[in-house]
Amino acid sequence: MDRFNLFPFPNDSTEYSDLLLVQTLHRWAETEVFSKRLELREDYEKLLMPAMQKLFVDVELQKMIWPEDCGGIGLNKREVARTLAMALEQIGRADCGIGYISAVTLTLCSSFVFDYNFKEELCRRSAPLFCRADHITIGSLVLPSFKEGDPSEKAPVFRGKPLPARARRDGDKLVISGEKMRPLNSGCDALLFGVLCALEDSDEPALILVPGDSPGLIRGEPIIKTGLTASKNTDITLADVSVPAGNLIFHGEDCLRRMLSWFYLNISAVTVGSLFTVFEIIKEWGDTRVIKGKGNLFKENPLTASVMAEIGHEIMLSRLLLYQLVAMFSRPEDFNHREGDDLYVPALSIVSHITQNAEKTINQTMELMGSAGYATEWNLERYWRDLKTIQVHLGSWELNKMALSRYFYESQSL
Amino acid sequence: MRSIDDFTRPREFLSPIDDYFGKIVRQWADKEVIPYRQRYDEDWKEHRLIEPAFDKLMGELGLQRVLFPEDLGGWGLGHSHYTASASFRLMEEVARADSGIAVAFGVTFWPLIMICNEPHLNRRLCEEFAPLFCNTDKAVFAANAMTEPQGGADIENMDVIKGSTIETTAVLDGDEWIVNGHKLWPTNSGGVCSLFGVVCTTNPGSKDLNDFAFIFVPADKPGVTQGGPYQKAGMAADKNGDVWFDHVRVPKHYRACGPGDDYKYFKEVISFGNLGSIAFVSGVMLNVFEILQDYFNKSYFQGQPLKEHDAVAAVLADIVKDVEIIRIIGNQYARMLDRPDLYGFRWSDEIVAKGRAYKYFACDRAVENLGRAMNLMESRGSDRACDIEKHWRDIKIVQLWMGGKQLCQVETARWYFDCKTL
Repeated sequence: MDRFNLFPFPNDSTEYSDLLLVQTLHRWAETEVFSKRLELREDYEKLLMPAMQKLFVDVELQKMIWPEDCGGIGLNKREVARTLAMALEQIGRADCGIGYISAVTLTLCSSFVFDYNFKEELCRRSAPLFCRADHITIGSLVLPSFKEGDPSEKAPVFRGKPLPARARRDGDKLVISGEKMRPLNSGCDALLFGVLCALEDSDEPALILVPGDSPGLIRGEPIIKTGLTASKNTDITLADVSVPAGNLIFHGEDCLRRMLSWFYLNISAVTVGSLFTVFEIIKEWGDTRVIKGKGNLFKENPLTASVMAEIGHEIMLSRLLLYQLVAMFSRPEDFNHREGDDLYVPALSIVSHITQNAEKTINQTMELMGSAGYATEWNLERYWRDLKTIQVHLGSWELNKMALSRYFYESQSL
Repeated sequence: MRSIDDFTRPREFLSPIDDYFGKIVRQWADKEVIPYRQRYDEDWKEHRLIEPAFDKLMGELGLQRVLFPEDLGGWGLGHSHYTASASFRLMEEVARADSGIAVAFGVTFWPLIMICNEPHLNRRLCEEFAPLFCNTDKAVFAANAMTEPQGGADIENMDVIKGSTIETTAVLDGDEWIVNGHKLWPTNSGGVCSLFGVVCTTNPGSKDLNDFAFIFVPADKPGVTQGGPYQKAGMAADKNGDVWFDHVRVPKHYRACGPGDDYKYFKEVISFGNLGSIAFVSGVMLNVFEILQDYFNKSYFQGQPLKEHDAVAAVLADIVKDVEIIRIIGNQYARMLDRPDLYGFRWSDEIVAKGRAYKYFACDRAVENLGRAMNLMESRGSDRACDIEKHWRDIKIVQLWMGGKQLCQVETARWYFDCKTL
């Protein structure tokens, strides 16, 4: 039985090339991750980085959404949403951290290579890093976060949170400053950062591409965190970092919402893929364990079967939601050409629902497996830690809900 | 500013040593554990950082002696009328610093309950084992070896299974028991245990309660092998591993209480396990409050402290509401264990079932609240430096152990609804 077909999704417009990509990624997962992780656990140098190198360079994930005339595979259109989702499911199934890094990197690149905001000059300058390099190129994003310290300090604010950096124009350059900013991922080894800035004399947020080797970019000590070992993160400081003015990816809230919508789509796919592995683990557990003595298979007990049913149920619904979101991106004509908040709000709603239910689903799976669910040997607990880490990086649900209320009820002051 | 001492406790029935326990353990926690605990995860195998904290608490402060009678070097808690209330405070304060240490410390008492508590105090075994714990300033660990490979925590589903799935055997040979079997996951195994309490059967497959045996096995007996510790999601201070008993010979009198009574009083062990679990949850949640209080005072949103945002404040309220309730429930359960004249025996089906219900309520609330707290803190919630994620990882296993949530549900339903086949 093909277990992934247990969880239906609308495959009416699936391309043959999508299926080939899924097969390739499935093989990558088996040979580069699953077959090695009992021995190597979450070893960054021996398991995760080599697996990412294979994925990004040999499988050419990092070329995928770049235009063909820049050396990419040419999937730089919104219709790629389905392909991205199917690919990220498979990557997330193998390792959430690698899936997360892939998701953020693809989000950053999509913000200036996709047709809705194509920046040709920036694209041509940046493409070699992704399309001609024999090394992995990780992208990262620096978004607003809570500020600790003196509230009287006047920092430009976006939806209640200070923008992490300030930028000013200096001839044909942009000069950026920001202290101890927490990227979404890979602060230690990202080669490109998309930094959300307050541009002088403007209230609108601006995303500026900052190369990781820019003079004045200072990386801190690695941060130890709950999960996502593949993402070696740290705070970064930009001390008057100067970049070409053409590195301005966008300036304005609409583009930010568009980029975040893609981010949410990508994260939803990674999360659903991770839940496939959770399902595989509990399936094996239910097939092999006994309860209340010999001969009573775990999956045949009404109580445990009831919880197992909820797990399958949540995964199935999450996947359906994911592909509903895919359809909004790839077939906008079917959804009244949703743009701005009309796209952002469903994306935020769906990613929040999927990641919150993923937490619940893995919690239930761990409950069924008892202490085994907690031991690294069974590989479940890493998905638990990883998915929780992804979830908190999406921002507080309490504050994200304010965006939903603004949209649904036209609240003005939230 | 409010502190953790503002959470309600039943002042009318606190134990006479409550203040003393609270004071010395909080000092120990603040000095010996909290400054170092962020490095505990990497110390899961060696315990180089963790061991000194154990030695201080259990050996130097002498808290590993508390259950034994006074004339044997103990503090006499086992025959007091406040065993559970004092234990709750003790475990809560330790867990505030590190629930892994609390578990390892608390589980040391678990097998000893079988011989130190009235009315089944086993003077002969107390005399034999007290020196191991009372004549040293080093931490000494005991463990309950229950779970087996074939059926996990089935063994703890006692009312239905009645010990019939136990595969670890005890055969009487003259004046000695010969113990054979393989156990998984005991807290304080993984190489650190000095004394095992082993759940065995004297007649495999039997549902005769007289065949359920609880036998003490010193870890240095020939035939006892402890595997290395498992690597887990958290709780680095609590080592768990495989334990093999291969034709291990122990004296006949090492059986804790005897036929029938081993089964009966083992249910008291389960009651104390539930009490301890609630105390661990309560202690963790108190520290979570401290962390949140600090974080939400310092972090700003829309120009004011984040705690002033109405929607955020509502979640903070939900969390402290549950801390209040968990603490009240835990103290109430401790009182129920301390007053069998009012509530029934500690080993009664009612007390066991209610303990299961309280335990899974507390665990469910803690798991959910810690998840919400991390979410509120956004990416900082997953930082080791903020300590909240450590508690999130650690507390999850409290929910999973002792048969997990499903066994708690079954036992609760069985008692309240008189179910026969669950």
